[in-house]
Amino acid sequence: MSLSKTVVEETSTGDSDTSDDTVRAFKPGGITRYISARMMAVIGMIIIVVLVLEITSREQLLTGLNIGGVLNASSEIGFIAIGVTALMIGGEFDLSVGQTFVASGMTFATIYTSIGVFPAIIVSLAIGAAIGMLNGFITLGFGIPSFITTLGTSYVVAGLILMVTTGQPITAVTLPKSFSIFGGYIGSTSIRWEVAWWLGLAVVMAIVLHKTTFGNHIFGAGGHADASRNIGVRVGMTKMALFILCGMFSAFSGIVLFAHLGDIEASAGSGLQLEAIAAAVIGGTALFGGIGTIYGGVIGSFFLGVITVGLVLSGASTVYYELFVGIVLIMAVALQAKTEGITSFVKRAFGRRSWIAEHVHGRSPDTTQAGSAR
Amino acid sequence: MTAPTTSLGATEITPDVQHNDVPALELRDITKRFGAIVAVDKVNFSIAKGEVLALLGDNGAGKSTVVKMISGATSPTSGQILLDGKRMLFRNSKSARLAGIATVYQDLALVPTMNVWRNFFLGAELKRGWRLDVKRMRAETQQVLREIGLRNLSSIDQNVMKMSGGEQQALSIGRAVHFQQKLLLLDEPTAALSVKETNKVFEYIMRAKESGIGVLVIMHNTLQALTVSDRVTVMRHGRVVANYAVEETGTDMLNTVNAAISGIGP
Repeated sequence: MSLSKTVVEETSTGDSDTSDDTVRAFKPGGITRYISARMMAVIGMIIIVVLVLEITSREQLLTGLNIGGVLNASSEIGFIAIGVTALMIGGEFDLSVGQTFVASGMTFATIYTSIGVFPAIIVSLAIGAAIGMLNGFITLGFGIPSFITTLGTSYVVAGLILMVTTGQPITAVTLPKSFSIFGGYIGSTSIRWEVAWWLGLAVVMAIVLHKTTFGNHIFGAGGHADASRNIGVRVGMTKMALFILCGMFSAFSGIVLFAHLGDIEASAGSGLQLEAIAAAVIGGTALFGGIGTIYGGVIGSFFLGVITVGLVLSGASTVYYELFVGIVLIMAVALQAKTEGITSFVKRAFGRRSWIAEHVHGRSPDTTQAGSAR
Repeated sequence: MTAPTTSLGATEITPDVQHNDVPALELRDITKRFGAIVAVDKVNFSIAKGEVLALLGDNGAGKSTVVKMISGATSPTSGQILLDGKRMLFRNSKSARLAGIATVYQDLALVPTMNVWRNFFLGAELKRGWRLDVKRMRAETQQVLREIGLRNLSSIDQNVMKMSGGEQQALSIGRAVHFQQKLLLLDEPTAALSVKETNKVFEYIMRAKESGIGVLVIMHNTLQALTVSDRVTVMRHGRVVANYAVEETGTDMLNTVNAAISGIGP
């Protein structure tokens, strides 16, 4: 197999329904059935970072108020990260999500007063879908790498936004009451409704990814497009659907941002595309497709939220944000790459037989004699 | 084995009555020219249902061109390909696959990042309502793999990239049998395998044969070909030069076939 060693750990398509007649039942115990060792490593790292930020913020981070703040900060990138994660599992990139975010958010901001909030949401989502479809058509139709296609469309959309708005921000005079379905707080907590939308959509998308035919085809298309096509998967259709979904998630994020800020400007989306990829990758999504989970993307987004809020609370200048994200990103990926070595080392150190050694090297000898039949 | 499921083998409707006298595959005067060069010159052979035919020949004998024509990767200049008695024109490898030809490529058959049962049912997933029927897919994959002879796989939830080459072949062959393909085409299936694994793959091929599928194996190694096949067909310079029914695998047979391959007559 020509794939790099860094991705060898665990199934990418986590299933927990294990029936018991496995030939030689191998069941990794307890929680590792649901969360891979790679993710455990990342979650461990998040806990360490949270603790450090808790100390540097003089114990301000883990208060109810600020945990809400972290979730709110996570959700904006979180919506986009859901779409980007799914798209990356399918083997493609979208660098235009930041501009899609702005284009849809601004469309929404411009038209909701005249056509009403809900029709405006539909129109804005349609714009996201249209940009995604354009990305898909160019990428699949011309066989251009999506990295290049979406880099191009991101410039085009950015240019269009500047042409139309002449760089002026759009500000709502008063926020309509219906905006509170996104921007309002849940009960008496400091958590906005957008967080519930984010996590709800993540659950839906995770079910789609792991429990439906479409999801299965996404993993196939991203893991080995030619083999999947050869076996009858409509790889092009699957990827097209992913581009459209990714555009719609970005659009949704733009709408939500405007709904709670009441203000959006042309530069609001800059850097979001790389943050979304960072969130996906921190969460264990492979850069070349076929491997990843939605909850990984959610955890990655949460991590970015923690850093944002934690640094602010620590009194650090926002310039440290990027520095911090960069270090954390590299650490997370390095940790995942070495998880297999680390877990087997730890298990040996504690005197248990490493299950990796057990089921890779210590396989019982073949019982059947060969040459067979004749 | 359970009933066939959609999509994989479904464009030609399988006849209700199995005509066992109709060969699984028949080539009639298949010819392939590349400009002035005749790569394959009026090749004829047929494979019965439940028969293993080994196609032998030295490098450049035309074996791989024949394989490409059967698997739909290229089309013959003239001649006919009959699959289960029906004349076929393959536009591409997908149409060949849909017609019932399962080609086991070393690298093109499986998705390495997906687990065993997801690979098995990829493109023909079993569903219960809108959801994947995970339980049934796992159970059926397990059953088929056991029937094909892969008994000590550690987990069907492991990724295919963690399986050995032989185990991957078991998966591909099992899939061809399960979805009732008409012809199983194996191109150098043992090229990268250990002796032990080679023997396992031969066992899988035997199981596939027992299910009634026609098997075409392209091989380099004469001894291995004699071990696994019912008949061997030898090609040289684009022509079929010899046909042998394999009755025994002794040294005489080996020498005869090797002489035919190299063209140094016995």
